[in-house]
Amino acid sequence: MFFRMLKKSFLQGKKNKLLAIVTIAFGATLASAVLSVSLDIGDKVNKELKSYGANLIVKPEMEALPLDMPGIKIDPLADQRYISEDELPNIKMIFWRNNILGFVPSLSTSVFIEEQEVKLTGTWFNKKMVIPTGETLRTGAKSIKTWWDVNGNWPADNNEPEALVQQKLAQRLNIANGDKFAVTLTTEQGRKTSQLKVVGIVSTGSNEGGIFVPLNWLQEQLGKDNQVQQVEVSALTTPENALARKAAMDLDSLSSDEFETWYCTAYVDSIAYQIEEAIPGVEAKQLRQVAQSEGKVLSKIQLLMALLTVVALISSILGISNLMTASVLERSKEIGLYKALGANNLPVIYLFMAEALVIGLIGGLVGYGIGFGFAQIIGKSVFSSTIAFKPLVIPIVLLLSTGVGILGTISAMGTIVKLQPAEVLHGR
Amino acid sequence: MSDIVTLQDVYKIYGKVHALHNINISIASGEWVAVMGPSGSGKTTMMNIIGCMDTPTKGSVQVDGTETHKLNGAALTKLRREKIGLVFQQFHLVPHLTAVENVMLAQYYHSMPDEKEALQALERVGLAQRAEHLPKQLSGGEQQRVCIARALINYPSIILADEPTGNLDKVNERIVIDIFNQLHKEGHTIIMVTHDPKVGQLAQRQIELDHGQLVYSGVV
Amino acid sequence: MLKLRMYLRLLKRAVTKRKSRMIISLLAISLGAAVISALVSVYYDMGVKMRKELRTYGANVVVAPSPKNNFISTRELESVMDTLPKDNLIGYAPYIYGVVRTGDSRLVAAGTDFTQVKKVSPYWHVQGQWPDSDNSILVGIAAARQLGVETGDSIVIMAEENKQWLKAEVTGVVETGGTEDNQIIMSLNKAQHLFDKKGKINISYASIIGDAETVERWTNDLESDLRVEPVKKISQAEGKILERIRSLVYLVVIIILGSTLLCVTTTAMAMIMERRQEIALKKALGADNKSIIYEFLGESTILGLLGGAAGWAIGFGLAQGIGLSVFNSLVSFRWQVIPAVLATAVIMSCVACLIPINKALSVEPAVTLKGE
Repeated sequence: MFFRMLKKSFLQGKKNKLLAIVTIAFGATLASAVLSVSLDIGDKVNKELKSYGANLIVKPEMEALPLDMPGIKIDPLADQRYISEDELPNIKMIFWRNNILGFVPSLSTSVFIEEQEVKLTGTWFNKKMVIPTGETLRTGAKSIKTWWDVNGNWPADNNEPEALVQQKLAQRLNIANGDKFAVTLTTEQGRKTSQLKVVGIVSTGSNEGGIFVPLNWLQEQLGKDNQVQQVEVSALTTPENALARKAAMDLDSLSSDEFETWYCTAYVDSIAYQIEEAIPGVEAKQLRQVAQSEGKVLSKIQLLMALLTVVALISSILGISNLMTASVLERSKEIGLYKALGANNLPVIYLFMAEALVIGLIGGLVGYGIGFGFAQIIGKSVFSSTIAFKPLVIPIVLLLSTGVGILGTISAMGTIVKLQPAEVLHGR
Repeated sequence: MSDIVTLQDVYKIYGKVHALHNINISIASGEWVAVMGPSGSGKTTMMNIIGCMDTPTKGSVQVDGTETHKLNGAALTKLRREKIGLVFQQFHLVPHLTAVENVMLAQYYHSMPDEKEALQALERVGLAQRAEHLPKQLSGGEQQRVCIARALINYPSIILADEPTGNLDKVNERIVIDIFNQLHKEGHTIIMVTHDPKVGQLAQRQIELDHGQLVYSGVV
Repeated sequence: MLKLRMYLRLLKRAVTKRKSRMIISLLAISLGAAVISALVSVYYDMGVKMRKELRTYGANVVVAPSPKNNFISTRELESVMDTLPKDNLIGYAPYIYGVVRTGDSRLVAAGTDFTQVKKVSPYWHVQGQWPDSDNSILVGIAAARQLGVETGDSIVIMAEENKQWLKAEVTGVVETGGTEDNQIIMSLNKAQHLFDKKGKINISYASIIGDAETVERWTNDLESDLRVEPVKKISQAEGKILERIRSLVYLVVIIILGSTLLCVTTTAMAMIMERRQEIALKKALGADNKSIIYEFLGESTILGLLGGAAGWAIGFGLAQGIGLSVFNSLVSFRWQVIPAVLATAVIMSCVACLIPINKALSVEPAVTLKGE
């Protein structure tokens, strides 16, 4: 009989039930869209933050300190140590290899153009690299240094004498795309002059006085086959927490469990540690300017989204419970009748709860579907990628919608209990 | 005496059901008519047509000189508030308005609200001291009396009462009946639907409907 | 006149005598209004606040000497910085560099203004203390390893060029991942003295709140021999990130607003549907459609105004909560939000009432009144 009443209540009061289901579906849509987005937001924003460039730098361990002074002087190659270019694919072999988005090796030297000292850097532009796993990866300045603005073409990654010239230098030398110019290099065998062809003018926004050439060409010219000075690595990382800070202070102080957790979390330091393991004789350091700021901005955005999610949830909870209360109030006559027929409070409450449950489930499922769609729209339009399906969202949304449905009824329970059948049935 | 309500060859058809079938009735001004008959006999449909809340499918209806079967919704509404006073079985008072405000509501839709006049109307049904009470604070009989006061406030040509005593106990029934008696004496036209033969006998004339057809009309 | 008084009286009764229902409607509307006002306030403030957050990425403008010169005078630098809008300038850190020897190592020493560095480059990680006097210095982490010094040690530094020397205490070890790791860093004064470059600096980094175009415009407008240039890497990335975050929050806010409006509207609709009987009765009493609609619209307007006002206040509070917990700063008061929220609340409640009322009006009063 209970189920019959439940069925009848749905068949007869179609419009009201529909309204309730629609409201709950709205609430659930909201909740699931925002939940899906905020659960998936970390990686996406993290990728966006990569436009600030590499967050790790890999250099050979060195004896002497380089005399680097911004914009003043360039360290000569003397007693420089190198990283073997052959070792680079190992960076994509570490535990967190999927978090390594790319890297750019570079080799710099001072050259003379018409008696002026200029910095010449050999690097990868968009190099196709084969990783030991058999996968290939395209990486280089083009993907990592997103702020580079190239007018013309990017040089090919081979040993052709093609050059990207920085804007200020191009102006000073009065050269344009297609022009050729001579540079004098200092090698271990003495000075030599080579011809370079300008394929593009690049604006990098700072220290605008250098030239970029294919790494292989420069290695050949300098007789430093297979050698690079440093590698900038762009990796997706997890914002630092207490454990990461403890590890940064003193790695040896971690217990073996803590170490395992630390090693298996994508902290910028643990990725650096793994790179040092993968390539012997190098030092991998986080570029704090990028790495630290990234963590801060990321946690801000996640917090913002979390709060928006909370607002969304509260809003849908109140919306739904209001409607449930309203619908119970509306049906006070029906409740009065049940009571007049001898029903206790409990069976009436059960009936309404069961109704709320059914409404909550249907509304929740419908809402989840629509909400997931909305999440995709957000993902597509903001990040041009889909939002991952998180199974966690379904139970949360269903719990929320049924829970709220029932909660809404509970708030109206008082009304049910207080209701005097006679009062209701004999006109109000 | 002139006829205030005339129904000629009136049909009301819902799909295949003839709620009213060829009804011909004339009611004179100042007459008290009781409409009787079993449930579903078409009493309420006829009352709705006379009360300008519905129009017939076929036939002509005249209420106080106006041919209502030709009117649209808005004109019917206008005629209703000018000519008709309604008394319901369920009283139908606006729950959040006090007794006097419920009476004033009818004035308000009709022309101008006048609290003094509304209070006088309540006094007439013996509720002067209950004027500021909300419906839920009033007994059934008191609510029905407010309803009658409201029906009278605009000096309607016709008072339509649908089972006015149906929800009342004996004592209140008596009070309400007395008011109707009084109204009749003052010359109001009263058309009253009732189940109760005793109430019906108080009227000058009884009309009985069955299956949408007029089966009896006359003084018992 | 009397008619108007009665109208107002009807409104007053409808609002005051139907407590439980009114509270539900009010709750729904003020909830909607609260969400709107909170989100709108946060959304409009977010750009500025996020920009400030993104300044943790460090300097976005570099001031270098004119091509003929190797140095900038501090006075020149100050006069350039004075022309920038005060509110937007977070700070500017001047640097002077020179090669020094300590023990048998050769390395770079830099002089700078530590209070400015803290503002411009918040990512510097100092183990120990920041120097608080001219006699204390920071040592880069690589340099410290090389020199074998720790916090608390004293070292003697000699400038390579002019052979001047000084003795200073290491108060902290700094790690940035950049060139600073290889340097000794001291106060600007001390370094200028050491290198004999009174009142001169090599370069300065400034952190300015503003998008790439604004910063570029400012730097272009400066009339100075100095080379003032935006750091493209930072300012462009900032613009891009901000755009993304803004459109993300925009969409989320739109969705929240949309479904909140719908939730509130359906609740309000349910409340009106309950009053079908009242509408039918009024019609039976001779009310024409217009006067019934006016009554309900009046009620809805009152509800909308009350709910909107309450909602605005709650929402403003909510916005402060979000502002404080995410950005550690209050969300600014915008008077434009008030009329917007009130209007939305009134429209919301009026629309919510019109839909079911139209339906109720089309029903013949007789049917509703008789058929319970």
